[in-house]
Amino acid sequence: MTVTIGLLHSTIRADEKLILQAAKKRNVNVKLIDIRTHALHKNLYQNTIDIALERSVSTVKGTYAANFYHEMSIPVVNTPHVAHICEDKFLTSLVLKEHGVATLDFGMVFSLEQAEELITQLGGYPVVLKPPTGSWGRLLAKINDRDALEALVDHKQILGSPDHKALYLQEYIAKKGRDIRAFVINGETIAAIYRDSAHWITNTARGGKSSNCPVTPELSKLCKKASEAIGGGILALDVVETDDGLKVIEVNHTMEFKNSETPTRVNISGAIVDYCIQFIKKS
Amino acid sequence: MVFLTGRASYTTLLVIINFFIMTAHQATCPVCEASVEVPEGTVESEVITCTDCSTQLVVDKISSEGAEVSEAPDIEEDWGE
Repeated sequence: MTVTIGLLHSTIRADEKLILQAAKKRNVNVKLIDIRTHALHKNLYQNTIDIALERSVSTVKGTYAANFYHEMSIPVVNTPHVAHICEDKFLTSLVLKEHGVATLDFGMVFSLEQAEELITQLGGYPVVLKPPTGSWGRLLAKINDRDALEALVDHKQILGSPDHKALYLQEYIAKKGRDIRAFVINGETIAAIYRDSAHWITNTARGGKSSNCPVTPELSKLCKKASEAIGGGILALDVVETDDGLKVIEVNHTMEFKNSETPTRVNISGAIVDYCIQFIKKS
Repeated sequence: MVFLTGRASYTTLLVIINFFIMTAHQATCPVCEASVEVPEGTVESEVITCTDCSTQLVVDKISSEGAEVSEAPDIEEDWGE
Protein backbone atom coordinates (compact mmCIF):
# COMPACT_ATOMS: atom_id res chain seq x y z
CA MET A 1 0.00 0.00 0.00
CA THR A 2 1.42 3.36 -1.06
CA VAL A 3 0.63 6.02 1.46
CA THR A 4 0.26 9.71 0.64
CA ILE A 5 0.52 12.30 3.37
CA GLY A 6 -1.03 15.66 2.57
CA LEU A 7 1.22 18.19 4.28
CA LEU A 8 -0.94 21.24 4.98
CA HIS A 9 1.38 24.23 5.03
CA SER A 10 1.79 27.93 4.58
CA THR A 11 5.41 29.12 4.70
CA ILE A 12 7.72 26.11 4.52
CA ARG A 13 10.16 25.98 7.42
CA ALA A 14 13.21 23.81 7.96
CA ASP A 15 10.95 21.55 10.05
CA GLU A 16 8.73 20.77 7.06
CA LYS A 17 11.79 20.02 4.93
CA LEU A 18 13.00 17.53 7.53
CA ILE A 19 9.59 15.84 7.34
CA LEU A 20 9.87 15.70 3.54
CA GLN A 21 13.31 14.07 3.82
CA ALA A 22 12.07 11.58 6.39
CA ALA A 23 9.11 10.63 4.19
CA LYS A 24 11.37 10.17 1.17
CA LYS A 25 13.60 7.79 3.13
CA ARG A 26 10.50 5.75 3.98
CA ASN A 27 9.13 5.77 0.42
CA VAL A 28 6.10 7.67 1.64
CA ASN A 29 4.54 10.13 -0.79
CA VAL A 30 4.01 13.67 0.41
CA LYS A 31 1.67 16.04 -1.32
CA LEU A 32 2.46 19.63 -0.39
CA ILE A 33 -0.80 21.51 0.06
CA ASP A 34 -0.42 25.26 0.45
CA ILE A 35 -3.60 26.07 2.33
CA ARG A 36 -3.41 29.68 1.12
CA THR A 37 -3.98 28.64 -2.48
CA HIS A 38 -6.92 26.25 -2.21
CA ALA A 39 -10.47 27.35 -1.53
CA LEU A 40 -11.93 25.16 1.18
CA HIS A 41 -15.21 24.08 -0.41
CA LYS A 42 -16.50 20.54 -0.65
CA ASN A 43 -17.43 20.88 -4.35
CA LEU A 44 -13.87 21.94 -5.16
CA TYR A 45 -12.30 19.19 -3.09
CA GLN A 46 -10.77 16.10 -4.66
CA ASN A 47 -9.35 13.48 -2.40
CA THR A 48 -5.78 12.59 -3.28
CA ILE A 49 -4.35 11.93 0.17
CA ASP A 50 -4.65 9.31 2.89
CA ILE A 51 -3.98 11.60 5.81
CA ALA A 52 -3.53 15.33 6.41
CA LEU A 53 -0.60 16.48 8.52
CA GLU A 54 -1.32 20.03 9.69
CA ARG A 55 1.91 22.05 9.64
CA SER A 56 0.74 25.59 9.02
CA VAL A 57 2.85 28.29 10.64
CA SER A 58 -0.39 30.24 11.04
CA THR A 59 -2.51 28.74 13.78
CA VAL A 60 -5.73 30.31 12.53
CA LYS A 61 -5.35 29.13 8.94
CA GLY A 62 -4.10 25.72 10.04
CA THR A 63 -7.07 25.18 12.30
CA TYR A 64 -9.58 26.04 9.57
CA ALA A 65 -7.81 23.77 7.09
CA ALA A 66 -7.65 20.91 9.61
CA ASN A 67 -11.35 21.26 10.37
CA PHE A 68 -12.14 21.20 6.65
CA TYR A 69 -10.15 18.04 5.91
CA HIS A 70 -11.63 16.39 8.99
CA GLU A 71 -15.12 17.12 7.65
CA MET A 72 -14.06 15.66 4.28
CA SER A 73 -13.47 12.41 6.23
CA ILE A 74 -9.68 12.61 5.95
CA PRO A 75 -7.76 11.63 9.09
CA VAL A 76 -5.99 14.73 10.39
CA VAL A 77 -2.89 14.92 12.59
CA ASN A 78 -3.23 16.51 15.05
CA THR A 79 -6.96 16.05 15.37
CA PRO A 80 -9.08 19.20 15.47
CA HIS A 81 -10.00 18.27 19.05
CA VAL A 82 -6.35 18.31 20.14
CA ALA A 83 -5.66 21.52 18.21
CA HIS A 84 -8.69 23.19 19.77
CA ILE A 85 -7.35 22.52 23.26
CA CYS A 86 -3.72 23.39 22.56
CA GLU A 87 -4.28 26.63 20.68
CA ASP A 88 -5.78 28.20 23.80
CA LYS A 89 -3.55 28.32 26.87
CA PHE A 90 -6.46 28.75 29.28
CA LEU A 91 -8.29 25.73 27.90
CA THR A 92 -5.06 23.71 27.94
CA SER A 93 -4.49 24.56 31.59
CA LEU A 94 -8.10 23.72 32.48
CA VAL A 95 -7.85 20.31 30.79
CA LEU A 96 -4.51 19.52 32.43
CA LYS A 97 -5.83 20.52 35.84
CA GLU A 98 -9.00 18.50 35.38
CA HIS A 99 -6.93 15.40 34.62
CA GLY A 100 -4.60 15.89 37.57
CA VAL A 101 -1.53 16.77 35.52
CA ALA A 102 1.05 18.79 37.47
CA THR A 103 0.89 22.26 36.00
CA LEU A 104 1.44 25.86 37.04
CA ASP A 105 -1.42 27.64 38.77
CA PHE A 106 -3.34 29.94 36.49
CA GLY A 107 -6.51 31.93 35.94
CA MET A 108 -8.36 34.17 33.50
CA VAL A 109 -9.53 37.73 34.16
CA PHE A 110 -11.06 40.57 32.19
CA SER A 111 -10.46 43.57 34.46
CA LEU A 112 -7.95 45.10 36.86
CA GLU A 113 -10.09 44.26 39.88
CA GLN A 114 -10.34 40.61 38.86
CA ALA A 115 -6.58 40.55 38.18
CA GLU A 116 -5.80 41.75 41.72
CA GLU A 117 -8.04 39.08 43.18
CA LEU A 118 -6.44 36.38 41.04
CA ILE A 119 -2.87 37.47 41.82
CA THR A 120 -3.61 37.15 45.54
CA GLN A 121 -4.92 33.65 44.84
CA LEU A 122 -1.74 32.83 42.86
CA GLY A 123 0.42 33.81 45.84
CA GLY A 124 1.26 37.39 44.91
CA TYR A 125 3.72 39.04 42.55
CA PRO A 126 5.44 38.33 40.27
CA VAL A 127 3.02 36.67 37.86
CA VAL A 128 3.19 36.04 34.13
CA LEU A 129 0.67 37.54 31.71
CA LYS A 130 0.23 35.68 28.43
CA PRO A 131 -2.07 36.11 25.47
CA PRO A 132 -4.40 33.05 25.55
CA THR A 133 -3.33 32.35 21.97
CA GLY A 134 0.13 32.99 20.62
CA SER A 135 3.60 31.59 20.56
CA TRP A 136 7.34 32.11 20.23
CA GLY A 137 7.27 33.94 23.55
CA ARG A 138 5.55 36.96 22.03
CA LEU A 139 3.75 39.47 24.24
CA LEU A 140 4.58 37.67 27.46
CA ALA A 141 4.93 39.96 30.44
CA LYS A 142 6.37 39.32 33.88
CA ILE A 143 4.38 41.55 36.22
CA ASN A 144 6.40 42.44 39.29
CA ASP A 145 4.06 44.84 41.05
CA ARG A 146 0.71 46.61 41.01
CA ASP A 147 2.04 49.56 39.01
CA ALA A 148 3.08 47.29 36.17
CA LEU A 149 -0.24 45.44 36.35
CA GLU A 150 -2.20 48.69 36.07
CA ALA A 151 -0.19 49.83 33.07
CA LEU A 152 -0.50 46.53 31.26
CA VAL A 153 -4.22 46.14 31.84
CA ASP A 154 -4.75 49.73 30.71
CA HIS A 155 -2.77 49.18 27.52
CA LYS A 156 -4.60 45.94 26.77
CA GLN A 157 -8.00 47.49 27.35
CA ILE A 158 -7.32 50.48 25.09
CA LEU A 159 -5.04 49.06 22.39
CA GLY A 160 -5.85 45.36 22.36
CA SER A 161 -8.15 43.38 20.12
CA PRO A 162 -10.95 41.50 21.95
CA ASP A 163 -8.66 38.47 22.36
CA HIS A 164 -6.11 40.60 24.21
CA LYS A 165 -8.74 41.79 26.67
CA ALA A 166 -8.87 38.23 28.00
CA LEU A 167 -5.95 38.14 30.43
CA TYR A 168 -4.41 34.74 31.15
CA LEU A 169 -2.29 34.94 34.29
CA GLN A 170 0.05 32.20 35.43
CA GLU A 171 2.13 31.82 38.56
CA TYR A 172 5.75 32.79 38.04
CA ILE A 173 8.43 30.19 38.71
CA ALA A 174 12.06 31.29 38.91
CA LYS A 175 13.56 28.87 36.42
CA LYS A 176 17.01 27.44 37.07
CA GLY A 177 18.30 29.17 33.95
CA ARG A 178 16.46 26.69 31.79
CA ASP A 179 13.27 24.83 31.12
CA ILE A 180 12.48 21.64 29.20
CA ARG A 181 10.86 21.10 25.82
CA ALA A 182 9.68 17.49 25.52
CA PHE A 183 8.65 15.91 22.22
CA VAL A 184 5.80 13.50 22.78
CA ILE A 185 4.26 11.26 20.16
CA ASN A 186 1.24 9.17 21.04
CA GLY A 187 2.10 9.51 24.72
CA GLU A 188 5.74 8.49 24.40
CA THR A 189 8.42 11.08 25.11
CA ILE A 190 10.83 10.40 22.24
CA ALA A 191 13.25 13.23 23.05
CA ALA A 192 13.67 16.34 25.15
CA ILE A 193 15.88 19.40 25.20
CA TYR A 194 16.89 21.91 27.82
CA ARG A 195 16.33 25.47 26.73
CA ASP A 196 19.00 27.49 28.48
CA SER A 197 18.67 31.23 28.81
CA ALA A 198 19.58 33.89 31.32
CA HIS A 199 16.26 35.53 30.41
CA TRP A 200 13.07 34.29 32.05
CA ILE A 201 11.67 33.64 28.55
CA THR A 202 13.55 30.59 27.30
CA ASN A 203 11.97 29.99 23.86
CA THR A 204 14.57 29.11 21.25
CA ALA A 205 12.78 31.63 19.00
CA ARG A 206 13.89 34.20 21.59
CA GLY A 207 17.49 33.03 21.79
CA GLY A 208 17.29 30.10 24.21
CA LYS A 209 20.07 27.55 23.59
CA SER A 210 19.09 23.91 23.17
CA SER A 211 20.93 20.91 24.57
CA ASN A 212 19.95 17.31 25.16
CA CYS A 213 17.78 16.59 28.18
CA PRO A 214 17.66 12.99 29.40
CA VAL A 215 14.15 11.54 29.31
CA THR A 216 13.82 10.55 32.95
CA PRO A 217 11.02 8.34 34.27
CA GLU A 218 9.52 11.44 35.97
CA LEU A 219 9.48 13.42 32.73
CA SER A 220 8.18 10.48 30.75
CA LYS A 221 5.35 9.84 33.23
CA LEU A 222 4.32 13.50 33.35
CA CYS A 223 4.28 13.83 29.56
CA LYS A 224 2.31 10.62 29.09
CA LYS A 225 -0.33 11.83 31.53
CA ALA A 226 -0.50 15.25 29.85
CA SER A 227 -0.72 13.71 26.38
CA GLU A 228 -3.58 11.45 27.46
CA ALA A 229 -5.39 14.44 28.95
CA ILE A 230 -5.05 16.48 25.75
CA GLY A 231 -5.99 13.63 23.40
CA GLY A 232 -2.65 12.27 22.17
CA GLY A 233 -1.03 12.98 18.84
CA ILE A 234 2.18 14.86 18.13
CA LEU A 235 2.84 17.27 20.97
CA ALA A 236 5.60 19.44 22.34
CA LEU A 237 5.36 20.07 26.06
CA ASP A 238 7.05 22.92 27.86
CA VAL A 239 8.01 21.75 31.33
CA VAL A 240 9.59 23.60 34.25
CA GLU A 241 11.65 22.20 37.11
CA THR A 242 10.20 23.36 40.44
CA ASP A 243 10.91 22.54 44.08
CA ASP A 244 7.77 20.37 43.93
CA GLY A 245 8.93 18.45 40.86
CA LEU A 246 8.28 18.87 37.16
CA LYS A 247 5.26 20.87 36.03
CA VAL A 248 3.78 21.48 32.58
CA ILE A 249 3.75 25.10 31.44
CA GLU A 250 1.93 24.64 28.14
CA VAL A 251 1.37 22.20 25.28
CA ASN A 252 2.03 22.88 21.58
CA HIS A 253 0.28 20.99 18.79
CA THR A 254 2.33 22.04 15.73
CA MET A 255 5.77 21.45 17.14
CA GLU A 256 8.92 23.00 15.76
CA PHE A 257 11.91 20.72 16.19
CA LYS A 258 14.59 21.74 13.70
CA ASN A 259 17.00 22.75 16.47
CA SER A 260 16.37 19.60 18.47
CA GLU A 261 17.29 16.66 16.23
CA THR A 262 21.02 17.39 16.44
CA PRO A 263 21.38 17.74 20.24
CA THR A 264 19.06 14.82 21.00
CA ARG A 265 20.25 12.62 18.12
CA VAL A 266 16.63 11.58 17.72
CA ASN A 267 15.00 11.53 14.30
CA ILE A 268 11.92 13.50 15.33
CA SER A 269 10.82 14.08 11.74
CA GLY A 270 10.96 10.34 11.09
CA ALA A 271 8.87 9.67 14.18
CA ILE A 272 6.26 12.14 12.89
CA VAL A 273 6.02 10.32 9.55
CA ASP A 274 5.89 6.93 11.29
CA TYR A 275 3.06 8.17 13.50
CA CYS A 276 1.09 9.34 10.45
CA ILE A 277 1.43 5.87 8.89
CA GLN A 278 0.27 4.22 12.12
CA PHE A 279 -2.62 6.70 12.33
CA ILE A 280 -3.81 5.72 8.84
CA LYS A 281 -3.76 2.06 9.78
CA LYS A 282 -5.85 2.76 12.87
CA SER A 283 -8.34 4.98 11.01
CA MET B 1 20.60 8.24 -28.58
CA VAL B 2 18.34 11.14 -29.69
CA PHE B 3 19.45 13.52 -32.41
CA LEU B 4 17.97 17.00 -32.26
CA THR B 5 17.64 19.36 -35.18
CA GLY B 6 16.14 22.83 -35.62
CA ARG B 7 15.82 25.86 -33.33
CA ALA B 8 13.09 24.36 -31.12
CA SER B 9 15.19 21.29 -30.46
CA TYR B 10 18.21 23.47 -29.67
CA THR B 11 16.15 25.35 -27.07
CA THR B 12 14.90 22.08 -25.62
CA LEU B 13 18.47 20.84 -25.42
CA LEU B 14 19.55 23.97 -23.56
CA VAL B 15 16.73 23.49 -21.05
CA ILE B 16 17.74 19.87 -20.51
CA ILE B 17 21.41 20.78 -20.08
CA ASN B 18 20.45 23.58 -17.71
CA PHE B 19 18.33 21.16 -15.66
CA PHE B 20 21.13 18.65 -15.22
CA ILE B 21 24.13 20.96 -14.90
CA MET B 22 22.75 23.75 -12.73
CA THR B 23 22.58 22.85 -9.05
CA ALA B 24 20.63 25.97 -8.22
CA HIS B 25 18.01 28.14 -9.85
CA GLN B 26 18.27 31.87 -10.31
CA ALA B 27 15.59 34.41 -9.52
CA THR B 28 15.42 38.19 -9.36
CA CYS B 29 14.94 39.97 -6.06
CA PRO B 30 11.77 42.12 -6.38
CA VAL B 31 13.24 44.70 -3.99
CA CYS B 32 16.81 45.32 -5.22
CA GLU B 33 16.66 43.41 -8.53
CA ALA B 34 19.79 41.43 -7.67
CA SER B 35 20.15 37.92 -9.00
CA VAL B 36 19.23 35.55 -6.19
CA GLU B 37 20.37 31.95 -6.02
CA VAL B 38 17.67 29.48 -5.06
CA PRO B 39 19.71 26.54 -3.73
CA GLU B 40 19.19 22.97 -4.82
CA GLY B 41 16.62 21.26 -2.61
CA THR B 42 14.60 24.42 -2.05
CA VAL B 43 10.85 23.86 -2.28
CA GLU B 44 8.04 26.24 -3.16
CA SER B 45 6.77 28.32 -0.22
CA GLU B 46 10.19 28.21 1.44
CA VAL B 47 11.78 31.46 2.60
CA ILE B 48 15.25 32.49 1.46
CA THR B 49 17.24 35.70 1.95
CA CYS B 50 18.53 38.03 -0.74
CA THR B 51 22.28 38.23 -0.17
CA ASP B 52 22.38 41.76 -1.58
CA CYS B 53 19.62 43.56 0.34
CA SER B 54 18.80 40.97 3.08
CA THR B 55 15.10 40.96 2.18
CA GLN B 56 13.30 37.78 3.17
CA LEU B 57 11.89 36.22 0.00
CA VAL B 58 9.39 33.44 -0.44
CA VAL B 59 9.91 31.05 -3.34
CA ASP B 60 6.66 31.12 -5.31
CA LYS B 61 7.55 28.84 -8.20
CA ILE B 62 10.37 26.54 -9.27
CA SER B 63 10.56 25.11 -12.75
CA SER B 64 13.21 23.93 -15.16
CA GLU B 65 13.28 27.48 -16.51
CA GLY B 66 14.11 29.13 -13.19
CA ALA B 67 12.49 30.33 -10.02
CA GLU B 68 10.14 33.14 -9.05
CA VAL B 69 10.30 34.86 -5.69
CA SER B 70 8.38 37.60 -3.91
CA GLU B 71 8.71 39.42 -0.60
CA ALA B 72 7.97 37.06 2.29
CA PRO B 73 5.00 37.98 4.48
CA ASP B 74 5.68 39.61 7.83
CA ILE B 75 5.41 37.40 10.91
CA GLU B 76 1.84 37.51 12.16
CA GLU B 77 0.43 37.26 15.63
CA ASP B 78 -0.76 33.67 15.27
CA TRP B 79 2.49 32.30 13.83
CA GLY B 80 4.46 29.59 15.54
CA GLU B 81 3.70 26.71 17.82
